[in-house]
Amino acid sequence: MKSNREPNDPLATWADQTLKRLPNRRAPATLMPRVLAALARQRALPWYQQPWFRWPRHLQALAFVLGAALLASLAWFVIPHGDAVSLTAAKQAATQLELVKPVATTFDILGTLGHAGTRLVKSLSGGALATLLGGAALVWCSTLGLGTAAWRLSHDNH
Amino acid sequence: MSDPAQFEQMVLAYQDMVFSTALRLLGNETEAQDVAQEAFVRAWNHWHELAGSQSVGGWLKTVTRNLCLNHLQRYRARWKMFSDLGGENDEGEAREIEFAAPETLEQTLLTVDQRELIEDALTKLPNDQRIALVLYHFEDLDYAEIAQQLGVSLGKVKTDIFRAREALRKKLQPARDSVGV
Repeated sequence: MKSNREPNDPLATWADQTLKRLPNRRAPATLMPRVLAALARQRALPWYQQPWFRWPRHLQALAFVLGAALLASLAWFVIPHGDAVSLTAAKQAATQLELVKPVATTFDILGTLGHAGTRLVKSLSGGALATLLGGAALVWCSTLGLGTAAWRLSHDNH
Repeated sequence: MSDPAQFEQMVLAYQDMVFSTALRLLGNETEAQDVAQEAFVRAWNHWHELAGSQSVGGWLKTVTRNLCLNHLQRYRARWKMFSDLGGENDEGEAREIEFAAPETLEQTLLTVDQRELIEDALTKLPNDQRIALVLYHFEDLDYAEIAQQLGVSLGKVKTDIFRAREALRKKLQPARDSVGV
């Protein structure tokens, strides 16, 4: 603990000395059983509701491999590859693989939607665009507000 | 020693510190127990990092403090924690904190020790004053850190701490006189 930081203030000095002399309050005897009961409840949860580092080792490894594969495939599609590997050729090759077909289809859909969105934004005037963005912000804020209020109410009732 | 046994030893060693930290910040035993329980559950979830570590006490203190501050922020509206609940009137002047009548206080001094009196005085401080005072004197945060943690101005923190000290001094004056402090 730091010593008195306001030595020239008698009131601060007195408060510091008085409060720092206080010993810790004894925790109630019920605290330890409560902690153990909470841990037992936590252990009873299925593995997927527990923190990742409490998962079984083989599932941790599997999750790690899948996560790394997902990141690698995202990087593959997003980062340009230069002359050595053509992005289009890579995409075409990837679409031949059954495993990544859903991913490729999703990227195609997202790409089409993005293209359409860009054209729509370009065709809109500044005022219309501002109105649209304002409306979106309003909807987002009201949804957030309603969600927060609902959560608070349910939490308070709980 | 197995992990659970080691963990239980750790809980026994630190439960008073965790409970005291939570109680002083929250001013409510039930809520302090809830927070203490949550702090130890989190410690168990990080046990792979904490087991055998020298910093487990500091880790627990920081987690407890943050849990308390989160709890207080969550119930801010209900508590009117940083507003004028018991602390200021419309003109922004500090209202006199309600203390026991002098006769009662003297009687109290005869029956309870000074430690309990200080704890009691702390609990009876308005929330914003108690929290600022506890963060300064027990948690060793400086004024700027407290202002940042609580999301209030530096001036308010200084005023709250000053008022809290004054209130404690007034409350404990008879005890100080009796022991010649």
